[in-house]
Amino acid sequence: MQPTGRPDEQEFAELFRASWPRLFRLAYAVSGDRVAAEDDLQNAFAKVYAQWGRVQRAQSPEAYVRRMVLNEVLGGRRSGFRKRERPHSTVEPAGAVVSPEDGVVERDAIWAAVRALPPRQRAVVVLRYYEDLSEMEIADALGCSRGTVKSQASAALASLRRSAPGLVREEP
Amino acid sequence: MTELDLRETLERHLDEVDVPPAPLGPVVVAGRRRRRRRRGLTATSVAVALTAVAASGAALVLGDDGGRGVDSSGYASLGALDFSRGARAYAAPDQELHLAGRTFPYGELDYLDTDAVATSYGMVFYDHGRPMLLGADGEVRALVDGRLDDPGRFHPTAKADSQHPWVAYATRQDGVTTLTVHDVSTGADVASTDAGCGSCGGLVIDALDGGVVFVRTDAGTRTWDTATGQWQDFAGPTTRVADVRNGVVLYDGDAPSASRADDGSQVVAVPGAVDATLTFDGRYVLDWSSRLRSTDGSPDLVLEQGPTEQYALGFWAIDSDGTVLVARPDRRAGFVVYDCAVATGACEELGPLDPLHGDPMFIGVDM
Repeated sequence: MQPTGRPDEQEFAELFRASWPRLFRLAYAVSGDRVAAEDDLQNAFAKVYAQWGRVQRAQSPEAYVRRMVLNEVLGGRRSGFRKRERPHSTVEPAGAVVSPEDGVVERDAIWAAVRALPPRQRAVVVLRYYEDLSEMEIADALGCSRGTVKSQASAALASLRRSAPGLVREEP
Repeated sequence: MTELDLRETLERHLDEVDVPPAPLGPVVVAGRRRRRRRRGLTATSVAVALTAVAASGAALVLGDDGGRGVDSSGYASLGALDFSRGARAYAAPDQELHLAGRTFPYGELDYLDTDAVATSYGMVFYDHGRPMLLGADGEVRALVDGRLDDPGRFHPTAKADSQHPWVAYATRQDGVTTLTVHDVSTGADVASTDAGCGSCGGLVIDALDGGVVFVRTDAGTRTWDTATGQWQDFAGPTTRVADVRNGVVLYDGDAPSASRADDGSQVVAVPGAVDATLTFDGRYVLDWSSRLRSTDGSPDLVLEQGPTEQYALGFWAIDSDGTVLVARPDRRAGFVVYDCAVATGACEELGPLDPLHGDPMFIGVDM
């Protein structure tokens, strides 16, 4: 696809292409569904295009776009089946897969436990440990307070440890 | 579990995710649509939309039937439809829908949308996961009977073959996803097969060409040749087949891994945008412009009507008879719709279309 000619569209195309892979992974991590992630990302970028002037004026356009993407993924506009949480029963019980000698299996169990988290907690975990954002940046991305980020992160980590009790090790 | 474990886990799983091609064209078009809709949206149009939603609720079959079946009596008979000059199916959303030379209030046919498929024998669409046919007699009938699994969750799309009066669709029953190629001229199934992927999350039919079905799942694209029953790996998950016509494959992303078709013929693969389409002869790519790009080195085709600059305001679709439908902006009418011949580029005016909000919509074309 070629950029559409007008200067702002050229800039949009550049940002779109540059950020699509990273934001797809983020959307996928939070939604847990490839198709939904792709749909949400397209919808979010359509909104970015429609509000390009506002995006450009943002202090950090990239952060603003990330916020729009997360809003789309976590937003209430989802159809029923996409809003639904993955039932916990569909996640392999950690005890059934843990092998202390096998780091790969252990990480698979952690991944399954991450996917079983509620979406907002999952978003906090992904933003913190994958995107490497600070609490303040996460709060900005999710449109919530720093305190909410702290509480969501705490709940998420507690849940991960509960979901994978065999994996719990003391923090060094 | 340490924070390091968590970090490594996320990196390992997410860095390995196959990222689909970035669809700039559809996003730009959707963004433009949002801009225009925002400007044009009025309290009146909101009221019209709500009315249409209410009407559609009455017209469509029950959504909570658990997939048991479809009450086709929920569809009003439209009387005879003449598809001999193409379906000529387009709409001003919430206002009016044009089909086979006739005009209907939009609410009467709002089950026909961009996911429907136009054929020379009628319109194929899904109703809660069940493929349906609006035939030339103006009646709607189900193409598959029986209870379906999770009807609201399954969106495999349907595709029409330009070489035969056939459509391909997928249904999910008792945990098995079945692909079917159906002859809409006779009402008989040409072939059907278990898609071999259980409930087949994310299964999409991307194309049907000469009886070969291009099926995409999260794992990539495979082809099913209805003539031989053979399956063949065609492309990985980073390839998106946009269209296939007359043996020419239009794709986005990485080039297909298969170099030969099941019949041994060389695959002719042409890169392009995921929302572009091919003319029935496979010679030209229709990609948001009245200048159609040649796939074989011959001169491009320029239609008599519509902007030739890519992404200039206009709307395009390949009709069921292989002609190109063009909605060209018009100062007085909003848009004027034309039906253009691929052989000559000559266009016949079909009439004006003036959406109060949103864009002109070609039924069966999700460009």
